[in-house]
Amino acid sequence: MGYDTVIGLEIHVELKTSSKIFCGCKNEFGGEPNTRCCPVCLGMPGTLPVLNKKVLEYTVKAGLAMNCKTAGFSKFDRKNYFYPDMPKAYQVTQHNLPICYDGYVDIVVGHEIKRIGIERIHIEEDAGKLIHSSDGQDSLIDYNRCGVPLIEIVTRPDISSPEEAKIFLETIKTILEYIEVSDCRMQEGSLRADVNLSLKPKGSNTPGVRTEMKNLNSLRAVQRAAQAEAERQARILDAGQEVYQETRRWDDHKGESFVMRGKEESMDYRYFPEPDLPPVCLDENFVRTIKKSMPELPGMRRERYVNQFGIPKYDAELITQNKHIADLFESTTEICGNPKLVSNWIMTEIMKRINETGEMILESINGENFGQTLLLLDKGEITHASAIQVIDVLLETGEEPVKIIERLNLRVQRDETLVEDTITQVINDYPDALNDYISGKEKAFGFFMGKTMAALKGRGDPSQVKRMLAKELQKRMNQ
Amino acid sequence: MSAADVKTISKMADMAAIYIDEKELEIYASQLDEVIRYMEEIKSLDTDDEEPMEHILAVKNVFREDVVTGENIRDEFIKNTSIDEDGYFKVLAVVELI
Amino acid sequence: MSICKKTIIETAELLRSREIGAVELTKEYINQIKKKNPDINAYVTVCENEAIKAAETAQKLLDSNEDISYLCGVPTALKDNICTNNIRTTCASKMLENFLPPYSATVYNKLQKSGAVLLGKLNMDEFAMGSSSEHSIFGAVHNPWNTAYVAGGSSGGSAAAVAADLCAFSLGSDTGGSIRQPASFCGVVGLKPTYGLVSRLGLIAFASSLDQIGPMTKDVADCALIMNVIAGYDPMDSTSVKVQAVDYLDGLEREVDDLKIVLPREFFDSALDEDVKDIIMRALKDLESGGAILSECSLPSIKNAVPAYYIISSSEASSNLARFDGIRYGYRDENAKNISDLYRRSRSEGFGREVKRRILLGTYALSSGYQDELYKKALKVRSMISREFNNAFKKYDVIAAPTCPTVAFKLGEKLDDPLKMYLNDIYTVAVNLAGLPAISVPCGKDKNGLPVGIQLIGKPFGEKLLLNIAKMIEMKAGRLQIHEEKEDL
Repeated sequence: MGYDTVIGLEIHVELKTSSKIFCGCKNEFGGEPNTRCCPVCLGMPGTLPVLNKKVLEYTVKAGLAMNCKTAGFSKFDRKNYFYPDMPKAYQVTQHNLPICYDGYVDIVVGHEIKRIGIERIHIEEDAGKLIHSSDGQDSLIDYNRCGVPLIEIVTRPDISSPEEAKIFLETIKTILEYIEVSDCRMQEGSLRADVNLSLKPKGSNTPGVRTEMKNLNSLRAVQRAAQAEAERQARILDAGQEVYQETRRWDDHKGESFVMRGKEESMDYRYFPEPDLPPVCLDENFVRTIKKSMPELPGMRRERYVNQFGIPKYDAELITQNKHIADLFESTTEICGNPKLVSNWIMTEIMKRINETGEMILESINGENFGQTLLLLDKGEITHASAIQVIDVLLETGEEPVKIIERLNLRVQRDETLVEDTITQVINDYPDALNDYISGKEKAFGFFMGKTMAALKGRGDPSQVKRMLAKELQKRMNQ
Repeated sequence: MSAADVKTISKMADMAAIYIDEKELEIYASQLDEVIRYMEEIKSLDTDDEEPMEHILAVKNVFREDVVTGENIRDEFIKNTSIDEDGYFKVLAVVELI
Repeated sequence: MSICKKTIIETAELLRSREIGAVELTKEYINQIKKKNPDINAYVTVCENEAIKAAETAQKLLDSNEDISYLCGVPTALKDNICTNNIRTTCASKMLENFLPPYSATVYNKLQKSGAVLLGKLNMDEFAMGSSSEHSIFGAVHNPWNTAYVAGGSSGGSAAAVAADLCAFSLGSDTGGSIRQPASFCGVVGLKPTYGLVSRLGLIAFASSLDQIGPMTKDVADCALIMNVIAGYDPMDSTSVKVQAVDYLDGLEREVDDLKIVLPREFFDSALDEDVKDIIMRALKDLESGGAILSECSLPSIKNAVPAYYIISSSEASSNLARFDGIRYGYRDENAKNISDLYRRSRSEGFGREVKRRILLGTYALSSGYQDELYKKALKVRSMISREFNNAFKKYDVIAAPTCPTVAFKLGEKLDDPLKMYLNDIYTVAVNLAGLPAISVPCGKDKNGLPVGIQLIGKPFGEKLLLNIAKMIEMKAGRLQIHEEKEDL
């Protein structure tokens, strides 16, 4: 029997404010354990929270970027539960009156645009971190992360495949990077997702029983966990059995999930209004100011790239998926002046290197050095192969392209005598190929072309070599 | 029927992470039963038109600027706990949610 | 007369005129504590060395002849739920028996800044939950007027220390009457400020939406003086209110014309002891003959105040006290088998019975099956009570009522009957629910010689008028002082 997959995501995002949500401790990943803590974030008796204004601004920014409404009246609540990473034994969150609600995000699935509803975005505080001691007897607690501001983005159950879940998450990540409210470093846990998934018979309107998979911290894990869960539920339903409403934990190494707790054991969080924090009443001015400061979002950039630079929609889509890459595209194009050349290079050589070594290469390459390299290539001063070499060197040494070109002597070789001598030598070295050419095998031309370019150490100007080679071969045929 | 029987109080104790032995449990249950019955007098009030008062003050929008003021005071607060290892708070192994 | 009997203002004059030095004064108080505290049990910690050091610093300030506060060199003590940096703050609980706060409460910082000398920390009901100061790991506080009686609670130590002259003034905290009721039982002045007027930072929370810190003093002028020091906006407390600074002392003795005082019938019900009622009515008649207009009114929702109060305060307490888990500070059971066991053992052994009762009650009121009909209902009752008060204040300047239905009761009398103990708060809790200011002023003694307090309830931030009227009552009734047979030996 076929099923429709119904997925909703809850995404936790750490905001990159300077200080924590309710105190002046530094908000930064890592650090010596428990050195970024104060009585407030440690929940010491008698301490009180004061809300970081930036957290509110960032949340509204995220809300606007996701087409949400902003609440005129919003408040904080306590979610009560015991866990050693939560020093107050309650988390300050927003239970029923979130800052932002009722929005949507468009994602590109194949060639279609699909709209995913955003139910709400609310503010909450992050917990500390537990690690296990080497002997496994103890848990060690580091509260540095405690009180780092989070937003939780809750989607409507509009996602209908694990693939879409991954695309959605990528899109959210892109948006958050564009509006610069989070680093979205999934490996550092600054973006984490819970997957709610259920199946229903194809075409049916009756929702199935859903499970919740907690704390997935990579795009791959989200997709794999959703895939595995869809398959698990399908097996259960196929066997005529019941799916239980439960919370599960995904083990990415084993590639399977385990029950954390069932419905009966569901936690009673005893939410109630946080008495230590007055409500938040956003006035229109506040929202308007943020609206004005909003940067261009990926969808808007995509359109602009097509219209302004005339690059294909596909290129624009790919490039705008990462703000840093899109920024690189724009700054490079400004110097080089050939948008299509830039987009081609970004989609091949740059993306290849990002995939191989990660996004940090974007710290070494910029519009200036990349633009200069492509400009020289575009003007025929260096060859394609040399351009690649220049990029590899500048990524390693940070040298300026012109200096690399001079040092490695990469400038295109146009000395007619040298080219002519090289061609003569190559033809003389391969008499069989010459015979092939004379007997009409066109392929041999390419062979000589390659050999000549190689002999010129890739520095020949292909059009010049081609022209002179044709002339020389013609001469030999006539001999 | 009692408002707070032994079973209910035992469940609450578990939620509040408190052990209460059986003998004590009966005393707690009977005292709390009396208290809760008294509290429940408000159940019958007609409050349909009332808004719950969540904050007594008209104060709203209290914020601080996003400025780092905290410094490392680990040595200050760690003296309230005898057990620390390399700057960590140490507890018995946490296996699952409690 | 012993110097320790003097008010702050009298003491300050002596310090300024060099009739006594700050260090000498502090030593005098410490001797007094050593002598009397064993019978009263008001202090749980006496910080003699720190006090003498603080007195030395204060003396330097006094000698500098600069513009200094009235409090400079004046010995004080704080209820032991107010955090004092590096000085043990216990909440009278085994849970925090050895807790050293890494910071100080805003009120303590303010007192220190004005040169007050901290003698020590005062006994109370554990985590401020109680009306008799008997629920303390340090043992019950005894009423200085008669040590067989309770001092009231939860700020029993704060009231008893002032009444027994073991400090010039103290601070208490009031969540449902915890300043006013012990003030009434011990014959001192106690003011619960408007919610938000005094910073709560550093007050170990019992019920955050109700808690306020306030002064406990020998007379009304001292109370006004302390308000001048501790009131005001604190950016570190989000529930603190920005209001124009008021000089509470200025014009304290002025005549109030056309003063409209109202006596809500619900505060003069059958629970009120006849003797107490007579004493209070006499004080009110005095005001009337001074020109005030007395009337009666009804605040029907007051009868729901006790249930609403216990539901809300216990709910908040169940959350506020969840942080005490034995990990970062506080009592930790060393025999636990796993983390869940550690929590449960530490909390079961670290908290006393009354605290556990309140946590259970609050957990119950917030839990999913009962939240709507208990917690949310109580919030609605809170709205009703607040509205009725507001309406009354449209017509009247101040509400007058007894602070408590009776004078101090005997130690142990209500200890095993929680509900009976809770009902002792019937006249005080509504004020906290509505966030209003209220003062308890001594207005006489009953036939057994135990003090009776009258309670005046004001509009939000109407402390100045309350102090004004309290002063008028005090001038008629006189300061209540304990006369010891072997005084000044």
